[in-house]
Amino acid sequence: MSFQSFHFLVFFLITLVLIRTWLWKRPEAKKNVLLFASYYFYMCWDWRFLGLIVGITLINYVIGPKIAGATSSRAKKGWLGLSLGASLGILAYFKYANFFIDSMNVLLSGFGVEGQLPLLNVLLPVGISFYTFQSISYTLDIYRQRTEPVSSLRDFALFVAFFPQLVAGPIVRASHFLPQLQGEHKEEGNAMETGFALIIRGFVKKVAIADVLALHIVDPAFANPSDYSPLFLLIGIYAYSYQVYMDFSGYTDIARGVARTLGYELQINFNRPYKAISVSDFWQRWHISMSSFFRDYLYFGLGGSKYGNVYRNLLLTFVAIGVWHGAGWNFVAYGFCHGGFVCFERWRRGRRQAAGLREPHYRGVGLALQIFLIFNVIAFTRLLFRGGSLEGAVNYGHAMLDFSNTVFPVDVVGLVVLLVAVVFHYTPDSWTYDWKKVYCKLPSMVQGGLIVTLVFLLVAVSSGQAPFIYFQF
Amino acid sequence: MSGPRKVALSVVWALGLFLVAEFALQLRSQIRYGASVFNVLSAETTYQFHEDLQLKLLRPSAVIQGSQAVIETNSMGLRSPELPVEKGKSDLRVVLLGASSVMGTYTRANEEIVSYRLEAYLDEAFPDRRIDVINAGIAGYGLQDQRRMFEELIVPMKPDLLIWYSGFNDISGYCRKQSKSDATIRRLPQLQLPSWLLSIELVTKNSLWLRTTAASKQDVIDPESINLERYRNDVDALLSSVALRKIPMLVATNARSFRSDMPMQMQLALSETARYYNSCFDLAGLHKVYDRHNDILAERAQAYNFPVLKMDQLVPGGREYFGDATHFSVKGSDYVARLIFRELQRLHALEGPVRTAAEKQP
Repeated sequence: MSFQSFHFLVFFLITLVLIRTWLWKRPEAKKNVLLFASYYFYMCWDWRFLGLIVGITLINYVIGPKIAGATSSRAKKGWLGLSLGASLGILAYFKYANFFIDSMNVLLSGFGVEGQLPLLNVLLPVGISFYTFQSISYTLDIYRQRTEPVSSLRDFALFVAFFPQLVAGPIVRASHFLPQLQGEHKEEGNAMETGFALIIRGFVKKVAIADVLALHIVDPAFANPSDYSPLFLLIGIYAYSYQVYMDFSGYTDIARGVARTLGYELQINFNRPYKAISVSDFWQRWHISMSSFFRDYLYFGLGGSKYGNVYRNLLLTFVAIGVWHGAGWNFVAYGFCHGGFVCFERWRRGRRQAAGLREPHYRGVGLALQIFLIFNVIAFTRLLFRGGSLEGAVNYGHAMLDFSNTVFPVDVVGLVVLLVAVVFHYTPDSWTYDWKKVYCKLPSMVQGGLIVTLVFLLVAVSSGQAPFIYFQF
Repeated sequence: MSGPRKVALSVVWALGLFLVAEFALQLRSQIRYGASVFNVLSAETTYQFHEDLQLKLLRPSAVIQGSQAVIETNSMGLRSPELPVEKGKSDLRVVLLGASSVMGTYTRANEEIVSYRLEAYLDEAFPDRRIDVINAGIAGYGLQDQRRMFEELIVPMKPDLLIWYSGFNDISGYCRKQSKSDATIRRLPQLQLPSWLLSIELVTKNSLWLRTTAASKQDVIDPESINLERYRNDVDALLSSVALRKIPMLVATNARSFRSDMPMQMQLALSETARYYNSCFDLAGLHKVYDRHNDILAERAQAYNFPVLKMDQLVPGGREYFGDATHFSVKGSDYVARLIFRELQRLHALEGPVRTAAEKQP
């Protein structure tokens, strides 16, 4: 059930009316209905995977108190290992098994071993990376004594399966969400209105910007790069950067908006990522819930900058981030590239400190140039991401060097929307709050008219229900 | 007012405004074409499904009235005059079989559609004979529907001559097949927007230019890659069914308004509805796929020794002759009727069998 579907609209409105009317003062019944709604939402994608999410929930729910109650460090580690092994094992089977088998086949044939290991016939359950990580964050937090085990299985199940963020995040931490389920969250007076404003913004980002960029520029460019001129391919790379940002941050806006209207708050996942002045800075602005997960649980677990080799720790963390996105050597290379850049920035920072130099403070044109440089680094490394494979990325790169090709099929709609996306991204942060305030002040009739106009506008520019890019992860 | 109550009110306003817009469009459709969701409520839909024949037909013996179009139907549910129960010895029955182009989309009255115009030309040429031209075209019909129509409804009429203008409806099937690619996923049933919602359809249809790309789309189908076997089989099935019953037939290839020698903008404008209904093809792909289907039609008809009228080459393109990508305007309908009439004259079709070797099987 995609957010853009009519089915979701009906499902959401029914859930919202139930929650906001007779369930509002009945927190237990409200959570029961929300859990039922979340499982129904997931079954709409594929009912067979309900067992998977329930299984992961039960494993970590049972192990949580065992970790907390274990008297020895060894027992704690054992229970944690079981939680990680079982959860990540399930993830590995569904997401990475064929990648390993395929790589093994290549390796064996390199050694002249005849015969091929058969690939598994498995479907990738939607959102598996998100809810697996969410579940293990719970046992990891208990292990680190950052949170207490939750007594209610229903609350824990709802934390894992809460439908607004189930299939593409943000990855919610137990310490952030479980207290809200236990009634410790006080919502703002205009939470419903700002929630709706977020939903509207999310749809505009997804349908009116991301999907239009995909249709007019990105998909053609990446489908047949050799057909087009280097300039069109360059615009294709830039457009993809905005497509993936608008797509994913649009999803996050909708998820946060839907959660807020239901009375819950999800964390911010993006902070103007293309304003980053370094690759490290980018990862503090992009998919914050995921990058902070890897920072807290993997990078710090490996020793961070205090124990062991910091560069090795950084590289391993970024390769893991790359592999989290997908099973393929292109994702390994993507993580390795970003890890390499972050290591270089750290090394350079160390050298400057050793030489008694301060961190560069960018302003004006220098700041703009630095932002543009980092944007290019991000955009070009995403060739590995969008190319589909290492070979696809290399082919795109080759086509960019074919200056004899002059085919430049950019149309007005594509260019205008790309420009809007850029302006949208670089507007001052305060404007975001201003337009929400303006929306909240409008009379309800004008708000209703705005919603209908937007629906028709989105229908006009929509090229069908293109799935959100991050659903595949 | 603020908070949940205000949000509820704005949602109610949004739904209300949407319903007002939808109601206005349904009313407009009812006034113009006599077809809207109100017909469903009064059980007077434009089309009705005939359980015995397993065919979608027009509402029988009805005058479906709108300011832009009046469709008068006979007791069989065809946009045709009533046929005499008994066929006279010298009577001639000519049946025009097809889909919406034959039925007469974009023609305001029965008198303007191809079958009526053809009948007028034939009456003029053969004043001493009763000639009935029966319009056996129903919008949306594919080849299988047309074969069923022929076998179940037309054969009992004892036609003397069949003219087959099949239309391009089968092509949209290629796009539907592509969207069903993830058959291995087991989803729970999903609610869909009601198909009668005019507001969504109107916005989608009239904003095609916003979704028209200068570059080739990634998800378009290469016409060379499509499997035409099913189309060929369906064409063969109808041709052999007609041949088996030894009914003379003239097979017409399908014309379109947009031509590859026109300026690109004109082609894009003229092909809008075709690209809307066949969204998995771009303009170049549509040209190719239409031509390939016409080639099969002509080649198979010749294999069965049926004469072929190359309508795709004979009907000029453009707005003058077409209401949209493939449906004839009033002038286009008359032009097509004249082309058929001349071809029938050339073949001496109404003076003897069209195929001299009609009984010869391929």
